[in-house]
Amino acid sequence: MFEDSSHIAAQTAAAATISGHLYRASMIAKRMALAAKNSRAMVLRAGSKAAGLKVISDYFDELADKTINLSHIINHSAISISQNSVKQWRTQGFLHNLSKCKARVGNQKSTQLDPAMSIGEDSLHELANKLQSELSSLNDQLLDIRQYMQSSNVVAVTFRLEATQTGEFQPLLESMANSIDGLSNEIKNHITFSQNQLAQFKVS
Amino acid sequence: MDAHKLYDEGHQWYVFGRDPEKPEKIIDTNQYLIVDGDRSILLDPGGIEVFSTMLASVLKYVDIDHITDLFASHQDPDIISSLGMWDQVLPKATLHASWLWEGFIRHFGMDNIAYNGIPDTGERLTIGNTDLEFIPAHYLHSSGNFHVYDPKSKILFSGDIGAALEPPGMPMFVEDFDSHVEKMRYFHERWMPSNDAKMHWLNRVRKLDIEIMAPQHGRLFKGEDVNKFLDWFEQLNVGVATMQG
Repeated sequence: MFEDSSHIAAQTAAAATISGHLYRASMIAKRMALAAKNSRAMVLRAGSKAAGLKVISDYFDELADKTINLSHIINHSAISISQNSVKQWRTQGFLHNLSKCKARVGNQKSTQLDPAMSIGEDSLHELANKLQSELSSLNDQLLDIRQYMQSSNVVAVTFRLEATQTGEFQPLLESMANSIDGLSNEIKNHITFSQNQLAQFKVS
Repeated sequence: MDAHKLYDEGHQWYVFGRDPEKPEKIIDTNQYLIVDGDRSILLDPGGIEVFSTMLASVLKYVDIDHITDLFASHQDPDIISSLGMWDQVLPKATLHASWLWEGFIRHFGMDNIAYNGIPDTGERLTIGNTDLEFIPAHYLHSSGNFHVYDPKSKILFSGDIGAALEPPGMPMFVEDFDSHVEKMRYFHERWMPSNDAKMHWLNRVRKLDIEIMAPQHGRLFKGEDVNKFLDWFEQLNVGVATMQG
């Protein structure tokens, strides 16, 4: 009648794990924002030779800021999912215990427990609906960040190409592009991991 | 789970315990139910592991709507970790426990049940026509601890005082006090922290007229065994952990 409690436990742990990974992703995004600001300073120093890079470094900066903000929002969503899972876990435990009790007592006493059973089942249903909507929105948010990071990878390639026009600044700017590219990949790894964790959720 | 009626003159006292279905490694507990008409109170309703058995046992004697109050002698898990479950079957009930533990006990889950924080000096509660007294037993063993005395039935629910550690299936009452002593000694020496607190409690309890002393673990004391216990407890040196090594 009730979902296996070990599954709810795994779900609770998965939501907490996602929250942890997104926190780490937001820390990396902060480093990425710093790298983007450094690249902008370098572009300014390079002057007219690097005029084409200014727009790109501004874009990096914007992506990093968006990623930080979205990571915070997602982190809150993941915590809310984790709390929801704990409530479901608890309610299932209650319903499980109540069922055991109903099996022990006679019919007349058993019916006295029906209202509590019904409230518990309604509450579980509500929690499942809320979880469904939270999971869907979390999934969209994770896709958004993945999209940002894919854009970041693409822009890093353009940045490297443009850097070839900047003479003595080329090695430094290339190194910055590599750094931003690497950080984007690190964030993508956290997002992939979180998406895999999300796949563990089963909404009835 | 075994159930025994301890008293039945106008109102009823029941004890529940010796649960053969409880997981092996958790300590056996005695739960008590006092019923007077359409009100009743559960004393130390127990841990989450015994909830379903306990609820089924209680419903043999009382309708669910008539369980109006809960009492927790202190905050330990074997006393009240089932609270999150009771909270869902008895949403209109009131839990009576030391004011000291409210913020802690709520960690067991309490969205519906009301909390009545008992002041340190104790309090009275009337269940139907039965007056109950919450007797202070602080530091025995918890820093905010109460027992329940019913002057009409002369039953004292004594929480962890009088507890004994015994294998499953022991009788409900002490049959031979002298041989029972060794089953209680270590529990009291180790769990009870303060000789001062012990004397304070003894002075208070010796003034009560007690026919049955009903602890939360082990056997109950009846008649002369109650005084034997009080005398034995008085001479016992407690708080031994700080005296070792």
